[in-house]
This record gives sequence, C-alpha cells and structure tokens, in this order.
Amino acid sequence: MRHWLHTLAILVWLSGFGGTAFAQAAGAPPPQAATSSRKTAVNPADYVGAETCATCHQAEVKGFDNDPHAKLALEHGGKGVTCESCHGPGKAHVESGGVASDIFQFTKATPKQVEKKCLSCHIGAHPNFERTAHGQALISCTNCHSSHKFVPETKMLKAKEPTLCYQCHTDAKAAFAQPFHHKVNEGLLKCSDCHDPHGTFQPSLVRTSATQDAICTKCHVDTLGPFVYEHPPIKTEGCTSCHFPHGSPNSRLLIRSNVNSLCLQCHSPSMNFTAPGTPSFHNQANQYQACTVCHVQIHGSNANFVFFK
Amino acid sequence: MMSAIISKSLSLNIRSSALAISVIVFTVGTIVGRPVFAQDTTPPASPGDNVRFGYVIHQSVDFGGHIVTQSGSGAMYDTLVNIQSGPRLLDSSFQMTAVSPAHALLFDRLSSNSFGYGGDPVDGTFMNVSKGRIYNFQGSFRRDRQYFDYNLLANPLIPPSSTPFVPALDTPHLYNTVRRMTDVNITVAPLSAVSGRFGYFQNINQGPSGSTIHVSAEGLLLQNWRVSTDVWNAGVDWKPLAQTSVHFDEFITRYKGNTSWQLTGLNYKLANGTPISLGIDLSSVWNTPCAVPFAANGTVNSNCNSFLAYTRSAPTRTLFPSEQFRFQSASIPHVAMNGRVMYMGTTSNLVNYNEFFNGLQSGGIRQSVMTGSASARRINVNADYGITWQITPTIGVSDTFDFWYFRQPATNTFTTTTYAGTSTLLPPGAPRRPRHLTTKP
Repeated sequence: MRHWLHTLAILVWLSGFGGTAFAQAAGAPPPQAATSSRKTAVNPADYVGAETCATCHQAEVKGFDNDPHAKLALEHGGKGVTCESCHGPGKAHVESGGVASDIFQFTKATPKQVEKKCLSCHIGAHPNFERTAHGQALISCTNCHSSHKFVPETKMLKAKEPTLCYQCHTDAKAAFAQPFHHKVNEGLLKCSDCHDPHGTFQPSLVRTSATQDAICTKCHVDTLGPFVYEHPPIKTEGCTSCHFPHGSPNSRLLIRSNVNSLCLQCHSPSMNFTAPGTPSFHNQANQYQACTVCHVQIHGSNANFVFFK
Repeated sequence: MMSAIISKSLSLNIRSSALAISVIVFTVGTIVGRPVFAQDTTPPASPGDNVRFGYVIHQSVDFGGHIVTQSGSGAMYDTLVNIQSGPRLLDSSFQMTAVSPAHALLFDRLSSNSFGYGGDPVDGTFMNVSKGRIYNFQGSFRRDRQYFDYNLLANPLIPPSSTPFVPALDTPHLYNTVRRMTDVNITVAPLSAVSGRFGYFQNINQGPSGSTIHVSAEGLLLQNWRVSTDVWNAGVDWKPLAQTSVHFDEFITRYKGNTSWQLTGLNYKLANGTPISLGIDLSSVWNTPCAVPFAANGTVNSNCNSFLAYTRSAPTRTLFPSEQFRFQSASIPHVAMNGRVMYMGTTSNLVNYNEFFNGLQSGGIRQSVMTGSASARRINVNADYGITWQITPTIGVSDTFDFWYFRQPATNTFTTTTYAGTSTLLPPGAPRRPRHLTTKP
C-alpha cells in the first residue's frame, strides 16, 4: 500500500512539473486574473452590450455580423450577448477607460484558459481535444482559429489548409513534396479529410470511415473487403504498415524502395513472424523484385489464397 | 481586370531532361461588387456593395490556361505532373450573405468555390449554405485523374542480356483512372437541443488499367476498372444537459465491384498465324515462359507456355450497415469524458465468378474454365472511452480505454474444368473431371 502511495505521489508531482514545463515552453504568459477561468456569479449589470464595444472596436464588431458565432445572437432573438459571451462582462473595462487587463483577452490568456473558454460551448463537437497531441502540447484554439475573421475559403481558420497545418508539421510539408503523394497541395484533399485536429480515439488523430475501417478506405474502396483471403496486416497493423500516407519516393507510397524488400520484412524465415517465407523458386535477388507483378490482389482476394486474382 | 502570370517551370530528370513551362497568359477576373475579399473580414452591406434580393453578393471568376512544352519521357511527365495545354477555369468563388439574416427566407449565407475545370487532372466544387439555426448544408464534388506509367517496375524481369531482348516500355500495371467523389451533408437545427444530420457520399473510380495474371506465363491484361461506393448516413444529436450530449449515427455503405479483365499483349503469332501472347516475363536468361519460345522463322513455339485468350469477371456486392452511439459530458466539474460504441455486420457476395483461359500452361493444361461464388462477412464491435480529470489547473489525469473485436467468416466454392493439351496449334483435348473446391479459411 505504501509503495502505491509513493508511486502515486511521484506521478502527481511529475505531472504537475510536466504541465508547468509545457506552459513555459509554449511561451505562455502568466494566467489572467479576474475574468478568466474562475467562476463568479453572473451579474447582468456587468454586461454593457455589443453596441458599447463597437464604439471603440468597430472593426471587430462589424466583422462579427458575418461570423458564424452570430448564430448565437440569432438564437437569442438578436438580443443575445456577442462580444461579452467570450470576453466576459465589459463594464469594468469600459469604466476604466479601456484598460486591457479589465477584460478577458485571448491574446494574453494561457492556452488552457482559451481552451476552457471555447470548449464551454464547443466541447460537444470536440470532446477528445484535451487528450490530443494538440491539447497536450498546449496548442490553443486561437493558434489555428480566428473568431473575428470569417472568409469562405478558410472558414474560421487563420489560413487555408494545408498552409495552416504546415506551419507546425513541417515534416508533412516535406512528405507532400515527394514525387508521389496524396494531392493535398493540389487542393483535392485537405488534411482534415483524414485527420480530425480536435482529436479522435485513433492514433495520429486519424478519422474512422463509415465502415469503421481506416479512413483510407473511404477513397480506396477496392481495399474495403471483407475478402475470403485477406492479407492479415490490413486488419492487424493497418495501411501504414506498408504505405506512407502522405508521400513517398516510391510510386505506390511504399515504405521501402523495392516491393520485395517490403514483403520480405515479414515473409522471411523467422521465429518472430508467422507469415510464410518465400518459396525457393522465387528469385528475389534479380527476377522477381516486384512481388505484386504476380500477387496483384495483394490486399485481398475472394478466389485465390496467394492473391493472384 | 487583366493580368499575366508566369508560373513556375517544371523540370524532370529521367534520362534526358524534360522541361514543362506552364504560362498562364490570360486571366480575366470578373468582379461584381467589391474587389475579392482576400483575407479580410467581409463587411456588412455598405453603399458600395452589390446588394440583390436582400443579399450582399461577392463573386469572382478567373479564366486562364496552360501552355506546356515538355521533352523527355511523356509517360513520366504524365505520371508526375499531367498538366496539359488548354484553357481552364482557374478559380471561381461566389458568396451571398443576407443583409438582414432575420428576414432572409431560404438561407442567410451561401458560398461556393470551384477550380480546375477544363482539363486539369484535379478539379472540384465546394458549397456551403446555411440558414441560422435552421440548417447547415455542405456539399462538394471532387474529380481527379490518376495516370500512372512508371516504366521501371517490370524491368528486372527482363535483363538486357535476354535473347531476344524485348524491354518493357510501359508498366504492366499502367492505369488511367478517374475518381469522382460527391459529398453532401446537412445538419438540421444545429443549435437546438435535438438536431439531425443526413448525408450522402458517392465515390466512383473507373477507367482502363493494366494488370497481370500468373498462369505459368505472366499474362498481360487489360483491366476495366470500375469500383464504387454509396454511403448514406443519418444521425441525431441530443443535448439533455448543459455540456452533455448523446449522438446516434447510422451508416449504410454499398460497395459495387464491377472490374473485369481480358487478355492483351497478343504481340506474336503462331505458325498458323494465330495471335498469341507470351506474357511480360519473356527472358532467355530466366528461361521464361520456356527455354525456346521462338522458332527459327520467328513464330512462337507451340509447346511454350502462352496465352491465346483470357477473360475474368468477378462482380462483387458488399453491404456495410454500421451503427454508432457516442456521448460526451463535461457536466461534472473538472471532469470531461466521452465514449462511443460501434457495431457493424458486413456481408460481401461474389455471386458469379467466371474465368476462362485458353493457351498452354504447365501440367499439360490447354484450356480451363473456373466458375463459382464467394461470400464473406465481417462482424465488428468497437468501443472507446476517454476521461480527463483536471485536478488543478496544472495537474490532470487522463486515460482512454479501447475495445475492438472482429471476426470474419468466409467461404467460397469454385469448380474448375481443365482441358488437356500440349500444343497451342491443336484444339483443347477432352475435359478432365471437374475439380470442386470449397474453402472456409
């Protein structure tokens, strides 16, 4: 029992330390006081209304009329709060002559504070966010979203996909510059077609298809199956056990330059793999470097157990 | 508005360098209303705006084109770039925003943008329409042509020291297919306590492509590629408490596989003049498809493994009914949790498999006919649960639980009838006793 308590204490201490370290690494300013996360009793008299905000913040208020957030105002018959639903009551800010610290500022808030503000309404759509790599790395909502600017091409994003995603995911940008790649840069696909940046239960924030398979099968429907003879890695390890999903110098986005060097990773005599080894008549060194010249239905077949047809 | 834009040049380094220069020579922007909205917020109606029927309208259309010159491997250029000369709709956008959303009848926002039409390998149209708290509609159509002729793939099969040396100039798995994807989704009452979602997605992938069949020799096939899915989905969202919601989704996916195969590459002749294929694996180094494939007069050795005819069809139909129940809650202070349970029972049927081979293969088989059917099911159960307890602003505990179960019973039954023979100059002999094979892997 004491051993467990010691372990728990160390874990709690480490998690607190880790959280602090993350916040500092992200360059987050110290938490804001007052209007941020602490729950206080709502006093209607503390709210001044969007018209008052507009006297100084004309650009933001005008833009808000064209913002999907304006639907909230419609929900309340046009009388619902707009600016102050996110920034908090503005009375103190107004009475102080516009002192910035008297109202919630998203630009000065910590990522956690911003996240809490946004998720107070949007958690229904993004329940996994706090457990995602984005959430854990303290990437706040406003790193990607701009709540005041709405343009049809980008919706609420600060830039179009994939430009926005590339700002951090430089490895993905390099991958999509490979000779063979999914057509993201060409505009056919978006990062969010395959990934949900707000989180899923899958690794790498990957979405699930309507058939509860890897999202790859949404487009690559010929691999959907089920097949009488199915290549086991498809189910047990997934598409990425053989393919790079973003881009590759290999024409089939394979993770190896030669087809046979990929296949032999499993199909070799080994105590660690149950996959059968290649027969002796397969001249792997020279003649049959591309296994899929014969094993054409490599994802699965209903008629042939070695995937010939 | 007119402008000239010189786009980047593309260079390829295969054997000889290839240069592709795409020059957009003519761009016409037709702008009704104010200039294109770019990155700034669209302001509400102002005296300069184009207001029609109670909507502020912004639209732009960019016409242009490509002039492409290219040298070197055309197949590789098409595989990697595939931008060709011709006029194009480079980009267009259209937006209508209600001046007074409360008085707009059908929608208070409509936006659409398109690109690539006129011959580019990728083109698409995206559309959003919404009416306040009534509905939110999103639709898109995307089309892309995939050309692939990467001619290095088969070369190890045919070393240059082969006699005769007949290099593979095109990949045996060439393809020139087109994928069309249509996606429409509507959410009804998105801000209400109960809202509904309906959607449809269609994916059609078709076109000519190449394939191979290993029947002693390596036959080159024309593969008439045609696969598609239709996905219908309906869902309901219920928000019983603040910060708590439950969701149910039903997905129905219908897969149709109509790809068929037929022999091609009948490049040689028998002594009687009949066209015949020796397949793509033609090499004296490997003694394939036989040690002496040609007679002295250049005709094909009739005792060599070869193809005179081959067809195959395997029409496949699969139904994927899939249910999903989700919930999330953050109603308990400092605790957020969510989870889902999914179930799917898939049935796939290959009802009428038909394969015909005429030629010669090892074992003295002169002809074969294979017919049959196959059926496969997949039962999938998936459950996930995640919880986060934010103990203090800097200390939190989070965990997820995943459960996945699936099984895939399948069976097939095939009947193969073979006909004996040792020469492609002679007709097939008497049929051997049919072989029936039923498999339950």
